[in-house]
Amino acid sequence: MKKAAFLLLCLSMTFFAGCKTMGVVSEVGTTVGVASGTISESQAEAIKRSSAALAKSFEDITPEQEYYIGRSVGAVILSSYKVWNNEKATDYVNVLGQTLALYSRTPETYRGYAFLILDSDEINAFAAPSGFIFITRGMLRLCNNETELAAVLAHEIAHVSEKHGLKAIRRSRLTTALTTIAVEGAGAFAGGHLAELTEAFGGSVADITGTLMTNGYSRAFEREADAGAVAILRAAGYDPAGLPNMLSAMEIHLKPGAPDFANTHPAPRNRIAELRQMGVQARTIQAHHVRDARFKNALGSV
Amino acid sequence: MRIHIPVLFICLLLAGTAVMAGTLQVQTGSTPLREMPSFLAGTITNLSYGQTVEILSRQGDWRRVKVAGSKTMGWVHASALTDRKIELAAGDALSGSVSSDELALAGKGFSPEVEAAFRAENSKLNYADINRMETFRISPETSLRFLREGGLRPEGGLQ
Repeated sequence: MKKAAFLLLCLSMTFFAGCKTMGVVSEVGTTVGVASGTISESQAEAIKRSSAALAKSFEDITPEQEYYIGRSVGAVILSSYKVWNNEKATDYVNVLGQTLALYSRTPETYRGYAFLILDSDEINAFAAPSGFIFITRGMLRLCNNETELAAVLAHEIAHVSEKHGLKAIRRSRLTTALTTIAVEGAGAFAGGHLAELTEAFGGSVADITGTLMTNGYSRAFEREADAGAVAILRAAGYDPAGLPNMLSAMEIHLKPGAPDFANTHPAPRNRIAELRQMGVQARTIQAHHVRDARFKNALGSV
Repeated sequence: MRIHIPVLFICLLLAGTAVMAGTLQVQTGSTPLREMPSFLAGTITNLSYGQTVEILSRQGDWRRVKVAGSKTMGWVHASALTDRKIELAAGDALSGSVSSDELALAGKGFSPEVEAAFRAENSKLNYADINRMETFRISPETSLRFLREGGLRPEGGLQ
């Protein structure tokens, strides 16, 4: 047994040298493993020693894990909203949105960005992890031109880049989930890990959808997404004034207490004030014959 | 104790190799190998999840790479690459050369299997439209044309 432990220690040293990120695994997973008899004390020790930053934070969620979480968050949103199946409009929103994403901080997600229109009069938009983005017809109706639509999509893309969805997962749940994955990865679970992982997965999805659809992000996260949107708009060549323009329109049309954007976002006037501090003010968007024509052609019937 | 010294030596040697190796793996479902360091550049070929590349040089967030086991060279965006080891044989037990943190990337954890178990408990969720969304792929040529026709002047120019 001692010999085996020594071998493990040697191997651990190898891994330590090969890894850039170092950290100490949370006690939680290994304690659970030992208590439930699925792993021995020495195995637990070996896992603790050899693993780098195992269950530290949302940053340890790989693009692949993020993708599976995003799919299910999206599937939950789509169980509450009908899809608006208008091919011309959906195509246009995807060309615009995916082009904007190229100028975001995270142009490459596991399977890329995709946009879908929800058949709802609510003024709302959601971004699920890994780039599944939803926008309601009510929100599209508020957009006067391509630049203002670009502002809404860029704000949602920035939520994905900043991993705000993943940050909504409760810390204790994340620790359990990532530790389960790590211990499973080490081949220490003989069986039964699927149930534990599924529970952690379902809980993570519920934490995110609860935040997106009911509680809303913090004001700090919304400010971050607005700042990210301004950066994307500028990099792609759009006038960032599209964002305060949209917020002004929302200020007029949002009904306090309605189950939509008003409920899950800070008051538009506060965000407009913060954008002014970033040097971005509402103003009329300059007309452009091609942009205006393609916008009207795609969304004229929204 | 003597018996362990060669083991220790081999491990230290392996550690050195791991640090020196200039190879990375693709961590997204797939990523284009591009002709130039730009999202608007043409695609030489698509690299798939877990594929290994050797780094030749770098320019900002772009890496000029050679595909392992071939002579194909091109540019890949750094965000699609990882230095953590990806083992593709999901379901295999821990092999001797991979640490447990690296196995977090091994197609385990939140996987199709976990999604299927979650779906079985939540039959009303709409995955059909999520699958459909994944087919909405826009090519670099389409983005380039969209920007050009729209009279947009993005950072990095139109190429």
